[in-house]
Amino acid sequence: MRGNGKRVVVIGGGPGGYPAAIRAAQSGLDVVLIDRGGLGGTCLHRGCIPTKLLLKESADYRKAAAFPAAGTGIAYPPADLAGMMRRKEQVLGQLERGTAGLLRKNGVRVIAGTASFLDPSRVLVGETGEIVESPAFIVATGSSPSRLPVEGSDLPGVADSDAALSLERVPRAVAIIGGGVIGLEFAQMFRNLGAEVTIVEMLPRLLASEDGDVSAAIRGALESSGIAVRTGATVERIGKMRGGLGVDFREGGVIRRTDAELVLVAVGRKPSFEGLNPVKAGLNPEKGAIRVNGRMETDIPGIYAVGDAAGGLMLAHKATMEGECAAQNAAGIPTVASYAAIPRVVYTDPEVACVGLTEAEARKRHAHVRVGKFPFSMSGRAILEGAPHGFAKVIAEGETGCVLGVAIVGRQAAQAIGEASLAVRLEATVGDLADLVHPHPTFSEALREAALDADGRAIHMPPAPKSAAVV
Amino acid sequence: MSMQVKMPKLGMTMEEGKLLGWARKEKDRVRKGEVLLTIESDKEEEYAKIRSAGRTADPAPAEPAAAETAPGRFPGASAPRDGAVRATPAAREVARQKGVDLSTVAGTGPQGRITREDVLAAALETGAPPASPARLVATAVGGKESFKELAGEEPMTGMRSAISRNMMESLRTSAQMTAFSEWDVTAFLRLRSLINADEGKTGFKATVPGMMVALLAKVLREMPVFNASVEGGRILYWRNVNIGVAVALPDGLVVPVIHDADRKSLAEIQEELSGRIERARAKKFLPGDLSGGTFTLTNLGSYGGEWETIIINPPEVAILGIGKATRKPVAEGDHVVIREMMPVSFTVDHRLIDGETSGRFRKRLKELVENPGLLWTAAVPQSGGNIAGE
Ligand SMILES: Cc1cc2nc3c(=O)[nH]c(=O)nc-3n(C[C@H](O)[C@H](O)[C@H](O)COP(=O)(O)OP(=O)(O)OC[C@H]3O[C@@H](n4cnc5c(N)ncnc54)[C@H](O)[C@@H]3O)c2cc1C
Repeated sequence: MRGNGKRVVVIGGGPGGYPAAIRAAQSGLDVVLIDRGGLGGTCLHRGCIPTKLLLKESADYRKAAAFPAAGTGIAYPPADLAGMMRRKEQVLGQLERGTAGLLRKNGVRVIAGTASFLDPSRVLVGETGEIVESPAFIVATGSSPSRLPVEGSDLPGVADSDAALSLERVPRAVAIIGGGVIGLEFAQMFRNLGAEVTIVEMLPRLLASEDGDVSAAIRGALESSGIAVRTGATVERIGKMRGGLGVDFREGGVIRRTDAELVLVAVGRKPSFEGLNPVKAGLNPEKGAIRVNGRMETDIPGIYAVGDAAGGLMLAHKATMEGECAAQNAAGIPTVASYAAIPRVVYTDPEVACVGLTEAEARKRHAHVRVGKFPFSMSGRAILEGAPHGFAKVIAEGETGCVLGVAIVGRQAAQAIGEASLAVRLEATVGDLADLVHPHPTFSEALREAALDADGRAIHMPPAPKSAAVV
Repeated sequence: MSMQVKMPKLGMTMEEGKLLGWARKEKDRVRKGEVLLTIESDKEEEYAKIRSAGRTADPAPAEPAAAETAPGRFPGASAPRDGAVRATPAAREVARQKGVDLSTVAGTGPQGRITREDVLAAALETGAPPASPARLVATAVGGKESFKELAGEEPMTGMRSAISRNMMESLRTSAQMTAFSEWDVTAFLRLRSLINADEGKTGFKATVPGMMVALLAKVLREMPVFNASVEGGRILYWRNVNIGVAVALPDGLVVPVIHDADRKSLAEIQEELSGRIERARAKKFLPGDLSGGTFTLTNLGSYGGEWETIIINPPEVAILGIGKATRKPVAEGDHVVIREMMPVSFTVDHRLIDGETSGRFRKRLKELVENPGLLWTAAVPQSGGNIAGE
């Protein structure tokens, strides 16, 4: 064994695994990274990056296509999805080479292949037959799309997000099953490209884990762009129809049908340990995820699990934070993962970006809660950009004004949420946020106004009526 | 209103300060910035200034706490300058509202900042400032650091936190009842010596835990309710009798499992047990070493322990603890004889097992331990066992 104990093997090269490898190498460990699916993981190849790229390209297309309608009378050619996919491949290739370079420069040895545990201190790389021994492992094997347990979900034309990211042609009509983050982003992308889009969601609202006003605002914006939204709608079966597929769903006791050329199943993801053989290491993934403590340690000494494999929020930046935490612990630097301020973003337009507690959670946990809200329809920047959808909302503790959570629905919300995350992380008060000078005109001013509102001194909003007339 | 005044730290190196005298009398009204008392540090003489307006109250210099202030040490004291304390804005606000001195609070937030939670915890610990009789105590407030000094700190991690989680889970989710008894293990230990004297021929040595696993396996087959779990309002009876044996490691405890102990000979049990214990000590577990247990045996005797209120290893429903056997005088008829007596602790989950049932189990196991020859006759599975289908 090299490095007598000062060694760690990272399994999986996604946003959980590769930063862990770099951090471990920086901390003086001898690091091996085993990855079978291409450095960058789901995030780079089938997740964050390609979806954002296609959202951007499709939004550009929609804008361009709107010009002829605005006066020239010339019809715009249909979207060149194949071309967008080629550009996507270019970008992914560039980013993957960048990741490989970073790992190499940090002295990380990368093995391409599938790692399977033989016991808690050895893995076998299937493709090469190499056995790698180490006192420490970081499992970062990610997740895979959940399947929909209904009749017809294996018909051709029914796709998960992986498959939907390599289409060559824009489908005429798309039914999206699932009104969560992935479903909404795909809905908007296909709509931008001119498809008819229907979202079918079982729960009573979109983005059901966020507050009701957030759901309502994004629903309104999507509907005004022509996307049909069916909530409280349970899919019963998918069947072949003339010219495509039919999705039957039950809505309020009635069975309805929507037809589609493509059915995208976006009903969530589950931790994936394919090929890993975790049981041989003594790990028993319960409920799909490997159980870990605050230092990302599993029940087996020396084995850590991070990212989607460890469950919780399935987000790239959460995976990275956990990966770095695990790496530091493996290197003997005691570190505890911190979940207080992990932003949750949906990259639609308007974007949805939230951090900390939702208003509903805050009201459950605290006796007194103050909420301040500012609509983008009153923001100078939003009006001049023609993007008046959404609002900024600051949720604070009643007595101290400590910022507990922020929700922003609006253009560029993802950028503005950075400031809110810092506020939550450092326990800023609404007064601190309100007294911070924000550049004008920007979208981020809405956050300040919301904080001012929570402090009872909003400038750009009419005061609430002092007393309601009682008749 | 009473007020606590903290001895200011005059420079980074000041460790103690001497109270030279009070500049104000009891019940005097004072303003922010006025001189309240004079102290002397190892370096220089200084005045403690009132940092906020208020009224001084009974200085009570005869009180031990106040008297101590003269030559006392103040581990909690730190720089009085507000900016020197790293605290989040919300923590400062809570501290102001609750009257907590931030320099007495240890921070757990980002980069060691004092958080809201830290201040709330400190406020709970110190309690509200005393209403009356008020006392001016020129020492570090915040109680904890005045009386005990932190020698080191580390996060609870790894095996410790796994154990902690498991044990809390156990106590939180089941109704545990422990019975204590003392068994005569003279015959049991004699059998062990006989077996071990034969080691040359058989090639194995018997240990108390190994033999106990063999006996337990029989009794568990006879009484399946002890080889069960309660999960989600259902009682699950296990076909396999997989007995875990708790092993102490330097940094905690692991429980290697002997699978299907009821179908193994004592020699097989012993061999497996020693292999697993060895791997546990080396922290090189093999698949299955630690999983699938249906009942746990713990040897309190290994560290001289006698009776303990042992805690069930969830989701199991019972655990047996055996203590260190000692020679004791016991009554046999009208005579006092010396016997090897072993203290035994037995914890059951009262949700599933009542006192009477627990008693029957102990009675049966005791019978086998005291008359190990009965092993020949034991173990007719009642129901649900894997022999039933054969
Ligand atoms: C469509 C979509 C859009 C998304 N958009 C966003 C977004 O905008 N922002 C965001 O924060 N998150 C987004 N996510 C989520 C994000 O992609 C994941 O949370 C993140 O990739 C998890 O990182 P990870 O390192 O845990 O796992 P992964 O990224 O899944 O990486 C796991 C890696 O391990 C490899 N591997 C698995 N098993 C083995 C084995 N046995 N041996 C060797 N290698 C193995 C895999 O091939 C893979 O490369 C999106 C996800 C999807 C599907």
